[in-house]
Amino acid sequence: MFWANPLVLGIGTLLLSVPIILHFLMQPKPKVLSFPALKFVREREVTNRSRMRLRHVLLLLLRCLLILLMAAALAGPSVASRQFGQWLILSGIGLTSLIVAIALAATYFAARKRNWFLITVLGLLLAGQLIYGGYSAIRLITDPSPQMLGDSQAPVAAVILIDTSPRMDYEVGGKRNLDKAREMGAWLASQLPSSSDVSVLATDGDQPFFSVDIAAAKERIKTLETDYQSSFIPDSLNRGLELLKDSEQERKELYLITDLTRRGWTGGEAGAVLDQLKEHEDIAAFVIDVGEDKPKNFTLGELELGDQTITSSSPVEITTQIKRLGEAAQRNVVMKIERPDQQGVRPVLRDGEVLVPDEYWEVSQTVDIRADTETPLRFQYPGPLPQGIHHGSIEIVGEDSLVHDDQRFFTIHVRPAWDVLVAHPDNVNPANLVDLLSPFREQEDGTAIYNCQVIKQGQLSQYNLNDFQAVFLLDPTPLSEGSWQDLEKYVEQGGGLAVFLGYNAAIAGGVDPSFTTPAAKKLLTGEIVRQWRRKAENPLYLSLDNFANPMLEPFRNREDAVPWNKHPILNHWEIKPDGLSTELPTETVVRYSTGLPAVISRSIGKGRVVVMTTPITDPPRPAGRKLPWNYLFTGYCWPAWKLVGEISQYVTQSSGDNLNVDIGTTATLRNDVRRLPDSYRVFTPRTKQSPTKIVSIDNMVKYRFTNTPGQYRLKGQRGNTVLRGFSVNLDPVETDLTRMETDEIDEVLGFERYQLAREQSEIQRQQGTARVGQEFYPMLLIMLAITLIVEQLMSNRFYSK
Amino acid sequence: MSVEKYLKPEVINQIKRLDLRAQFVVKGFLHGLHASPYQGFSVEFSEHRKYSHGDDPKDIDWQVYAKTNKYYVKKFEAETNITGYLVMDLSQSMGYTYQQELTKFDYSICLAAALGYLMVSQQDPVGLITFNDKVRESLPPRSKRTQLGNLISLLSRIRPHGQTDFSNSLGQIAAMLKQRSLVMVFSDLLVDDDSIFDALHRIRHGGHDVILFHVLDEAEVNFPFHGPCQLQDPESGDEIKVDADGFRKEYCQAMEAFRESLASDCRNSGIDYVPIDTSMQFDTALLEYLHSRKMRF
Repeated sequence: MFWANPLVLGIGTLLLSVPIILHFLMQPKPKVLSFPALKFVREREVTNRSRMRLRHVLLLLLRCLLILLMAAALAGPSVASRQFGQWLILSGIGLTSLIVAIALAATYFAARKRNWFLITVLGLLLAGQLIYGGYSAIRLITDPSPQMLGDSQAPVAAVILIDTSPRMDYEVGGKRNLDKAREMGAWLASQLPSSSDVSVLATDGDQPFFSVDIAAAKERIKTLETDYQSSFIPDSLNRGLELLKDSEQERKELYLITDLTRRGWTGGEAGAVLDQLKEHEDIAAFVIDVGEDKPKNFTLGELELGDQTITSSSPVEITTQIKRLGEAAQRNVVMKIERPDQQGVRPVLRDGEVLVPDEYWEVSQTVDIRADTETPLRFQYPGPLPQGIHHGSIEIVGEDSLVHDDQRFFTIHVRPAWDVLVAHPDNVNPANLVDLLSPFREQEDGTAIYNCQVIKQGQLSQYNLNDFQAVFLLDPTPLSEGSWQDLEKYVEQGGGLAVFLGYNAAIAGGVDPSFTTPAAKKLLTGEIVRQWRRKAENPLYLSLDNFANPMLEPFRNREDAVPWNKHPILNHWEIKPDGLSTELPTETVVRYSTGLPAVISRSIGKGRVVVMTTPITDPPRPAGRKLPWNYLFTGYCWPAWKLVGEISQYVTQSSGDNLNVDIGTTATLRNDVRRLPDSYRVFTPRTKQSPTKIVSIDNMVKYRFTNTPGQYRLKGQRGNTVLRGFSVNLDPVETDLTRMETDEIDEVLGFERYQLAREQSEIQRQQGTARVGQEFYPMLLIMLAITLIVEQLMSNRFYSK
Repeated sequence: MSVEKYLKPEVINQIKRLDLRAQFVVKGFLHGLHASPYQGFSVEFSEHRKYSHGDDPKDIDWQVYAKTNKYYVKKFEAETNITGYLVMDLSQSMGYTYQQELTKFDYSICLAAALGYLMVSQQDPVGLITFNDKVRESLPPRSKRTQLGNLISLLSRIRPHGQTDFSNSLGQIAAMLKQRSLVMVFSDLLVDDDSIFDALHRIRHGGHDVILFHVLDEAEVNFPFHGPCQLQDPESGDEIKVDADGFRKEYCQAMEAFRESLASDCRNSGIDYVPIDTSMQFDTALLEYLHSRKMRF
């Protein structure tokens, strides 16, 4: 049996002596009366005296019972199993019924005047008790679920799951939620009966295990820290439940200590948790809320870089937003771009600490943020920046309860513009592509990232292709086998080639044979077999197919919003795949609505080829033809614009390096070992951490351990120092402090399947209920009331004047 | 203590038309109401009988002759006197009342006064004997008018005291009675021994007419107490603690049985048993009794 306030029980036991003392000391003195007919009294006196004594004892017992019940009710008893509790309640009902029955009998038979109202009330009370008692008894007998009997000091198997998400670093008054959680966890562990099995589990994805003893569990709780790659709570719960259900202890308890922010619950196998809790009814679940009811926070949104590769004359442009949870406020927001140190030695490890450049170019803004809103921010640093990798950050200056979302990091690559060669036949206008790659204004500013050389297709042989990063063939006319071979060689050596097939490839009834030569087939990913034509009223549309391909990255998550149906396609070529995709990785990136390929990419050697089977240069009314092959660049043509832009980046391989990644993602940088070091030392944002070494494999360097937000710097040597790097950011959703509603928790854990608590006292009480299942406070109060009534009746009868 | 306290005029009015007769034939010749074996000398009409020779012609009822034209003589029974003794229990318990105006003793005096008045007014001699553990006071029977005053003044002087020795006292009284008398005993009969009837039988066997007024206090009959009580016997000083509420029924039963057994014994012995409690109007009680007695004799 568990007592919420055992002290009261002790006091109650002491108080029990009071009615006994009173009974003997304060017994009412009988009235002394002169009475001559004593002889008749004497005859019956013996029986009367014993009856009177019995009544006094009864009254004394009733009074003792009264105090006992009062003390017991205040001490908050509960027992270790629901079934046992039911038996106890049944006994309580029995006892109370007995008392009521006695009172009823006394009222009916013994009273001088029958109080029918009282008799009715008592009768109804007795009937109600008997009916409820009968119902409880039947339910108890027919209840099949076996419940353990036990006392609260029997050992338990307990899993204490502590939320270690970055949100738990939310701080109020110098105390983080995690600190509160750790205190609570340690307290819980100390509350557990000795020789219990305790497992301390964090939401970091670790496998759970039972600690050696409670002290070890407490030690583990002390060392817990927040983890940027926190797993979802349902998954952690599942792991904890798996451990618990295999435990041999009879009582099993699961404690989840969390700030109840919604983010932690929005993923993972919530259904499995519900199923497990349903299946294992013997596991008592507690959710302990250490969060703030109304959290206040500033959140800096995800950074959107204008471009992560820019030319030195381009400005650095970043847009983001600042989100406020709480009342309106004003904050200073600063963009900092690291200024490389004079000696060019940083980052460097000195005296066990990593030193990084500590001078910055800065832009700052003061922002008025309204309550619970998002305020957009736009930063621009006009430059110029020296060529190379630049790290920077945007930071909200000033105090905030949660610091993780007050700073975001970015890395940009400043390099010279890419030289590209655009070759077009006479009847093709390259203006669309040139405008796209190198807008006139940017050419003027010197900020264009492509440096376009536009030539006639016939002049192709006059240029050294290796001077160019990529070659674009716009609706090519037949090329000689030699030209195809030159292009193949160029691609193999790392060049990029984009071919937009169109009208010029056709001869009467089919394709020009020069497009089906072996070299052409290799570059065009297969043999052109036929030209498909559609009527204007029944056109085709593009359909994005392979979102894994970096070319489609801008279209991810918004595929339904791309208005491809505004841009019909009437004609296209069909390429029959040559089956070389295993040795020459080939992917169909975009298809037509018929399923035939529209954009195909292929890697040959170190270079890449992208073939589009419909042109991008057909005007709406082409000369000498009735209809164009497509309307991709007609009207508000942003999808085509974007697609072609991505194709350009892909073939120039300027899109290859993602310099800004999310936490936990592998950062991949291309590393041409002919020009770049074959190994690097990686300096992580943890300044106390020594750099680790990574080696280039297949012209790539990969770094997996991106578990801390900040800048990761790669330092290598090839002749002189080569600095590279990338930034890692925490997804803003990870610091969303929106709280869970109770019904949302119910969805995961089941309605009334868990106990929600905030304070230790609540936990203690609920622990009692759950370890046990049953509390007797209400029943004891009812018994108390009934005993009081009976005591009053009896004493009134005894001591009436 | 004045006569008026015990014999109020309204009581006299109530009872003066009644008489108290002995249930046996009184031998003697005085002025009383009591039937006598000597006929023709009394005022009490007995019967009509045909005139026969030798009858005193002055006895002829001329009214009957006028109606029937025959001679009838009126026959009279001779009436004589009876000596009455008012025997009062003087014990301490007789001085008890719980919440009535009169103690049992006072109540008995009232009864005795009324009866004394009745007898004196019948010109019967009436005497008084009081007793507790033995005979204490006695007043010889007289039929003078002043006797009533003497009786009452004696009674009003004395206070109940001491214990009762019923059989001894009545034994003494039995020895004191010289001629056949009407013995009226006033007592609560709250004595421990069972020899009440031995003494009464002795009186009865002496040829005396006995009326037993069993006077109890209302509280002794109904036991009106509540809660725990400590009851004290005024005579012996014994104490008993009881729960009055739980005890009432049993007490009443016991008291009822006691009175029943007394009534039954009295019936068997030819004694008039008059159970009375002090809550009854004593004049009403007396009238009722006298009426019923008149019906019987």
